[in-house]
Amino acid sequence: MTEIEVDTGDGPRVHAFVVGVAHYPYVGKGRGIGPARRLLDDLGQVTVPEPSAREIAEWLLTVPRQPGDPPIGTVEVLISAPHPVKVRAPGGAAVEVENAVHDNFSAAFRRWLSRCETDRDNVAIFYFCGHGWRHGDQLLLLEDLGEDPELVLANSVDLGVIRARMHLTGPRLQAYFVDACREVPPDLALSGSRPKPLVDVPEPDGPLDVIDAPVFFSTAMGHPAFGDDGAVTPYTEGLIAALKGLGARRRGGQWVVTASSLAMCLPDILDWERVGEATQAVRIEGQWAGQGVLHSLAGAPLVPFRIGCEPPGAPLPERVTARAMIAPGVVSAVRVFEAGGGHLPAGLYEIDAGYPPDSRFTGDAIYRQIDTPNAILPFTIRPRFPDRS
Amino acid sequence: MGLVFVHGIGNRTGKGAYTETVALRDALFERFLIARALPALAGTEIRNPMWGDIGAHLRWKHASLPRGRREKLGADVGELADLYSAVGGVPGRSLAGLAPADAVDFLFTVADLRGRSAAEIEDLADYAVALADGCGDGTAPAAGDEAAQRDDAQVLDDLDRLAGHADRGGGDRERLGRQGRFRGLGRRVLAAGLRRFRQQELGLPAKLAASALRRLGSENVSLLIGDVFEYLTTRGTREQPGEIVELVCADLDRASQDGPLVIVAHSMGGNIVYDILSHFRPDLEVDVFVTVGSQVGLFEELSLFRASDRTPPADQVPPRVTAPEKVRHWINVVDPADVLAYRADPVFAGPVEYDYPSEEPWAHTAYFRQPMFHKRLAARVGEALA
Repeated sequence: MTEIEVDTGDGPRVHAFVVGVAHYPYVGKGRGIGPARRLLDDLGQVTVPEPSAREIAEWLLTVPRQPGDPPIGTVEVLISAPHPVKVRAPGGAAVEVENAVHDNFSAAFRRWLSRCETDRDNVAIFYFCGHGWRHGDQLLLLEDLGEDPELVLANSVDLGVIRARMHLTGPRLQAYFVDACREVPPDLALSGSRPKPLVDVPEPDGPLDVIDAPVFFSTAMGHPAFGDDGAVTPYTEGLIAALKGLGARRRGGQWVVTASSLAMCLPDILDWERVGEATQAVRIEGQWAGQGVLHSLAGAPLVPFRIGCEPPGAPLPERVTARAMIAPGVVSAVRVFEAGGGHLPAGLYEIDAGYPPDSRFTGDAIYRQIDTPNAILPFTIRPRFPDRS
Repeated sequence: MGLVFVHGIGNRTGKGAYTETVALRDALFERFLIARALPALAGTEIRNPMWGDIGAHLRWKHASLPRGRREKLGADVGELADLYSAVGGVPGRSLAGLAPADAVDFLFTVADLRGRSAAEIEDLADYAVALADGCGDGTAPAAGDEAAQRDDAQVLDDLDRLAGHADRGGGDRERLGRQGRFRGLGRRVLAAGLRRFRQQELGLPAKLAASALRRLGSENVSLLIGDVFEYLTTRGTREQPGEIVELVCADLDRASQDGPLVIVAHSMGGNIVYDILSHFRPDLEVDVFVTVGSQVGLFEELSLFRASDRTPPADQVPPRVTAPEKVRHWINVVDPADVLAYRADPVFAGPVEYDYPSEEPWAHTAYFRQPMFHKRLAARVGEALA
């Protein structure tokens, strides 16, 4: 059992379930016949789910919560790798976690479900990183997938079942993060296989509550997801950056990360880090991504910015001076940056493009609200004419 | 008289679709080479000595390979797309833009044989015969602009009609019942392979394409280098032949019990067989020796065979080496697109060279999957024996 308790006191809590699968001992070994053989052989070993799931789990386990936010209650962690995996728990102790086989997943899911059901004001967070397929709903492929090639999908999980069950009795705010491929191999339909049942989903006895329960998929339906060998995936890196603040929006004097602010910011955060690269496209599906608060910040988030020039191709200024404006004409701080850009706390700034006196170019100061998730500051650059006076 | 196929580097029992690939190759040999050029071999076993299993083994399981590659969180079926990327091509090629013979070879190359049943393999082989015959001599041009707009399903239908027409003996007579000998399984395998190939075009990040060459040059290249070194260092002597030589010779002996041999060898298999025929077993009588995508010419230039002249080379080009005395016909097939295929006739006196120009990046591994190749091989061997 790897349920790590953080704060299980009274009142609403955040209960998270984090799964990473970086070990598939039954794939790529020529097991099975027909469609099962091809399905299992097409999957390879991956490393990225281990650091990705660990990073998410450790952030959840150690993140400081602001007054008014429900504290982190429990974090269920299952991570499969070729070696034992430990995560850093509150207080710094390293806790060895169980592997993500179906039996462990099933038990952990039931514990998570029970925790989530204790209060409709709880917050439920689900994260998965590993191999995935799309077959009806999203399939999450666990470590023991293909253990019995005659029941090739038995040790997979149908995300739709989890969400449907959670909708019945789970909290009003749920967020699902799935970092996995969503391709539809033609052999899936031919296999006739189904995931082993996880939990019954009874018919609701009335209209279901309206809840916030979006699913943030790392890629579009029918498309693959990627990660760089041994590193946290780009999607998960972006997700953590968003939760730490880049996905926050100012509300009532406080910076908060909500399901809807995440939906707006997360795609931009991923694109920002990979300029010019064809990237996988984050897709948000499921129930409405509303205003329920996932996380509040202690202050304004640090927002990355870059300098953009008009006309395009004009030389960048050597440096940029940013003056934070706390009221008209009142400057609180002055910071100087190199030409490429930097990070500034979200807020209003007067920004000067600095060209040396002997430069052939100059640019006017601009006033700009630096806002999440990132900003491009568009300076209009013009030639400097010689002083003929 | 018997037919022996000696495989090239990188083959291992249980790796990929090895078993199904052998089954399809045997089925195609039976329907083309044996049926059309070697009828005396009908019903005899085709021998496939599996020397790869005693070839190179990597103790640390490729741990020395630089990794740093991008991982995919789902099915990784990108080998063929990687090949295209590596040579700067585009995976999304139009099937309709190909000549029918090229389209047939393409479909059989991208077919996913893993896990296919015996019935599927047999049907696929029957379908290959009908398609190859439907394509005539393979010189029909690519479709015109309008026809080139047809989608994959339409082209598969066109080829199906072509195959059905050939299967009926070229006439228009209708059959009130199941059409032709094939049962549609083969077509289904081809359609699934094409669909899988198309999937590889979706959403490949640019970085992945850029690393395609590294990915390709990964475990397969390690095995290639390993198998070559393993053979050269363990082949032994005439008095004490190594394990690989003994294994291949055992099948050659069994196949030759009733008379001369027909040997088809791919890639490194050609080098092994030449080494055997020129040094270890010069007594073996061989009716036809076919080397395909092989490096026999290069190995001789490098004096790597046991029978090679190891004296330092003189300035002038030496005379060509005499082919093994008891080999009656030697055919060497080279696909100019195959970077591992070398000519034999500039170095040896005896081999007859043929080109099989596919212009495909996967040329080296595709020969024996392609119906048109089998058809032409049967014709060439038939000519040699006539």
